[in-house]
Parts: sequence; C-alpha cells; structure tokens
Amino acid sequence: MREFRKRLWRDWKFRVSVVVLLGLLISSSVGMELMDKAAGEPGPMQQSPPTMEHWFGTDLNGRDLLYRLLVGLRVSFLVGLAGAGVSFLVGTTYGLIAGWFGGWIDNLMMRIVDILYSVPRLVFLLILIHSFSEQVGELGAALGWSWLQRWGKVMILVLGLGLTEWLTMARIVRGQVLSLKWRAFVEAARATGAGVGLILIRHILPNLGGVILASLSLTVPSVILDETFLSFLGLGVEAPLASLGTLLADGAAAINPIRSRWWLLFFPAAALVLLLFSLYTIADCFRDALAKPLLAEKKVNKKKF
Amino acid sequence: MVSVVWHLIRKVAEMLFVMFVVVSITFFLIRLAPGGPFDSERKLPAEIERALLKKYKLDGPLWEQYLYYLRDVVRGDLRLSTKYRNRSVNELLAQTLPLTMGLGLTAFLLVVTGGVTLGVISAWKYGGLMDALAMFFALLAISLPSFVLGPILILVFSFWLGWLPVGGWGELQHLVLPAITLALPYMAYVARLTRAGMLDALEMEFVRTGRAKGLSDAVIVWKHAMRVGLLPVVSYLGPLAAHLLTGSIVVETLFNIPGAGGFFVYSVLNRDGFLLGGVVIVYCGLLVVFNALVDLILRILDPRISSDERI
Repeated sequence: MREFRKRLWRDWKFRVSVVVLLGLLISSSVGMELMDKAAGEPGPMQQSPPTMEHWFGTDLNGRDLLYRLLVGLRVSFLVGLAGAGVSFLVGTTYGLIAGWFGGWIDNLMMRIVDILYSVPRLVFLLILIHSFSEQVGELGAALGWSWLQRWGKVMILVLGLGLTEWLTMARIVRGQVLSLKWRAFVEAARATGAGVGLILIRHILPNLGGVILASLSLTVPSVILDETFLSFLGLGVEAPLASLGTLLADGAAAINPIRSRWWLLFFPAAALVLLLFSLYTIADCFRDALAKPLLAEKKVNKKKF
Repeated sequence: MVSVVWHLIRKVAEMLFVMFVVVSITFFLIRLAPGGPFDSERKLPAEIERALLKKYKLDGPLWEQYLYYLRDVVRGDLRLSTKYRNRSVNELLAQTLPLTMGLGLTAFLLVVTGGVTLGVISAWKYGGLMDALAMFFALLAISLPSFVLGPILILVFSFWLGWLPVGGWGELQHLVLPAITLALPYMAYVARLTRAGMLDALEMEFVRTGRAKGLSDAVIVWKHAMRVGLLPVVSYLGPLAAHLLTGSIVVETLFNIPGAGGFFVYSVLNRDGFLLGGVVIVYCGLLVVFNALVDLILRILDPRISSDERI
C-alpha cells in the first residue's frame, strides 16, 4: 500500500488532478459563503454577459451564474459521491458474499448479475424516480420533516443511480475475494475461530482497498454524467436547487444563431470538463499504479515503437 | 463438431432465458410501481376505467395478466399502446425503429473504425505528441454530455459554416451530425480501451519474437499485436450497441428525428407498459445477439478461449 501511494505521487498528472479537484471541492463548499446571498436570487440584470459585477454573467432570471455554478457543483459532488457510496455498499457486500461462499451460491449470484447487465438501467432508474419521488415528498410533508421534503427527490435520484451502478463493482470484488480466501492469513484468522463477518470486514476488505478505489474513481464521474443526462430529460435535480446537469441543460437550450448567450453554456461546461477530467485522470493513475509496478522499466521498452 | 452444435443450442437457450427474465422484470416493475396508464388530472368514472382496463387487457389478477402477456409476446403480438391510442406497439416500432437502427448502425461503424484507429495510433506512438493529443481529445469527448456536444456541433457546422442541415430526416446529409454526436463519446471510450489493450499486447513475448524476426513496426502493430490488443474492445461491442440504442434519445430530440429512442423514456413516464415491453424486448434482443456474436469473434481472434470458459 505504501509503495502504491509513492507511485501515485510520483505521477505529475495525479498531483495536478488532485489540486484541481481540491480547488473545485473547496470553492464549491465555501465559495458561496463569501459571496452576497442576494446573488443567488432573481435580480433585475437578466441574461447579462460577464461583467465586473457578475464575473460569469447572469441567467434567465437574473441570478448570478457564478453563484449558481457553485451551488450546482456542490450538488453534483454530493450526488456523485453519495451515488458511488451506494454502489460501493451494495456491490462490495454482494461481491464479498458471492466470493466467500462460492459454489452454487456464487454461481447463482453471478448469473443474476449477468442478467441484470441485460436490463436497460435507464428504464429501472426512470421507474424509480418517476414513481417514488412524489411519494417521498408527501411522506416528508406528512411527517413534517422539511429536510425530507427538500432533499427527498435528490435522495431517490442518488439511490437510483447507486442501485444501477454496482454490477461491475460486485464482479471485481468477487474475483478478488476468490483469490484471497485461501491465503494463509485468512486461514489463520479462521483457525482462531473468527466469524465470517469479522474475517470479511477485518481481513479481506482492507486488502481490496486498491481495487475498490480504482473502481470507485470511475463510478463517481459516471454517476455525475448520468445525472446530467437525467437533467436533460427534466428528471434530475429541481429548482431552486441546481446541478451541473440542470445548468448545462439550460445553457444548451440558450444556444441559438440569433443571440448567442454563450456564457450560459461555456462556464458550466468548463466546470464539468474540469471536474470529470481530473476524476478520470485520477482513475487512470490508480489503474496504472495498481497494474504496472514496473512502469519506469516499461517506458523504456515502449520507446522503441 | 458435436460440441459446436451443442454449444450453439446452449447459447440460444441461454439467450432466450435472459430475454424471458428481463421481460418479466420489466413487466412487474412497471405494473407494481405506483401510478397507472389512465391516471390524469381528473379521475375517470369507475365504469370507464374498468372498460379501458378490459380493452387493454389490464384487468384480472396480475399473474394472469402476466401469463396472457407472455403468450401474446411469444405469438409476436406486442399489444396496443395505452398512450398512442388504437395503435399497436408492433406498428409504432415498425415505423420508428428503422430510423433509430440506421442512426445507430452509422454511429456504431464510426465508433469502431474511428476509435480503434485513434487508439492504435496512440499506442504505437506511445508518449509522443499524437498520443497526448488523441488522449486529451478523447477525455474531452467523454467529459461532455451529448446534449452539450450536439448544440455546439450544430452551431459550428450548420450556423457558422452552413455545411450541414440543422435537423430533419430523409437524406444522407441529415445523418452526418446526429451520427457524429451520438458516436463521439463512445469513440473516445473505444480509443482509450484500444490504447490500453494495445499497450498490453505490445509487451508480450510474440512481439519481441516478431521484432527479432525482422518484421516492420507496421506489420507487428497492425497485424499481430492488434489481434490480442483488440480483445477488450470486442468484449465492449455488446454493451456499445445497447448504449447507442438508449443514447439515441438525446440525439433524436436535438435533431428532430422521429425515432424509437424516446420510447425508452416516455413509455415509462406515460406508464405505457406494453410499449415499454416492446422497446425492452428490442434492447435485450440486440444485446443478446451482439453478445453471442462477440463470443464468436473472440473465439476466432483468440483460439485459447475454450467453449466453457466465461470471459
């Protein structure tokens, strides 16, 4: 693990991506607090191009685009991380169980995964969101929980995205467990009388760290992209909240040849590209650091081509 | 020979089983989820609703509906759409699917040829300027949703340059922008897959043997290494076909193409269970057939893959 970390930091692409990602994360979490709260409310300056007062211009309702962008970035971060979290929980548990018990249990569980790969996930996602987001809102109103009313739809969205993204994780984890479960340290734990749960969580899970990290680093950006797709369909995050997806959908609608309000599309797109670029680069670096222990040596070899 | 036939029979049975399960899952999901096909702002009188349910064969216990539906599907009758009144799902699909399939096939060819070429060149010129540029643009294409890419392409090629029409359907030039919009993100993904696969392949022993034998770089890269390096790409072709089918909804909306992609979304939103069933059958059939083809191609490319081994 230490070697893994060392190899990661030696890669300049990894360092740059981490800095960019941290910059986005920090500005989305504290940036809005530094700005005037009124900037997020509808104002008299509608669809103004970038000025000294509004650095990124304003939108259709006169809201400051920078402020909206920070809100959107924060929501997209939350959706991406929470969605990946759900997929991590489900996928890892499933993979651990299938790999550990093996035999017909493993066979059955993996055939189920195979079949689920053939189900159009979009359909499942839409049914979940469209059927239950109303109910969650009503439930929140009935119980008087304002946070549930406010965040209920986003929670359903996150749950749906996570529940449709865990298949690959389950496969990877299962494969790793299969190769780990007869190792000496697992035998030793078993010999001391440790229960199944303890062995899986204490001894096997920590050894999966790298693979899970590599897989999660791909899940986060794909969940964020899925959310933008749902926003385009009008099923993503709803106003007054914003996500990068809703901002992009609004911006794409504002593109026309007569009066091009380019800033409405350009800044959200730039933010999304920065975010996904750094996430994907980090994922690449994880993969390289895991798979190519002799990277320096190989580079020499490849130079010949 | 006997084993090959046996293998084929087993494959077909597996395919049919997967389709059966997927159709069942969708049927129960859409029927059990809250909300029905005839819900509207105003509540329908009970009698009318009962008559409607009877007409669309949505009455009786759920398991009975399910069995009758399966029987109809096996007979090739996908039933009536509950949203587009008095039109059968067969008819709706027959009108829209050719457009979507044409668009998808064009995009598919673009993805495979463009993606593989870019990926192979990147791997060949590993670490060089071409490699860096290709991978930069690949990452850019993956990071932009197609509903952002589409309007940008329209702005540049239709409004500024005036080369291609904004939307519509019927002539070949109508196909160019939609196909490119649909293909670009997947092309980028395939380019990345190809590059990774080729880099691994170029490390293998047989490449060194080839060099020792005095083969040129081009022959090694394009003939020998590609056979192994493309295995991951070939495995991705099944999911790719499925992604292109569902991904076509954005492109069809942007370019005003009356295709079938939108049914994936609107049949769910309208609770149009039978239309949903129809598109799911198409989706699943496409995926299953492509996966079987992929299985075959993999076997030809890499004879070491035995008939029982799962990839």
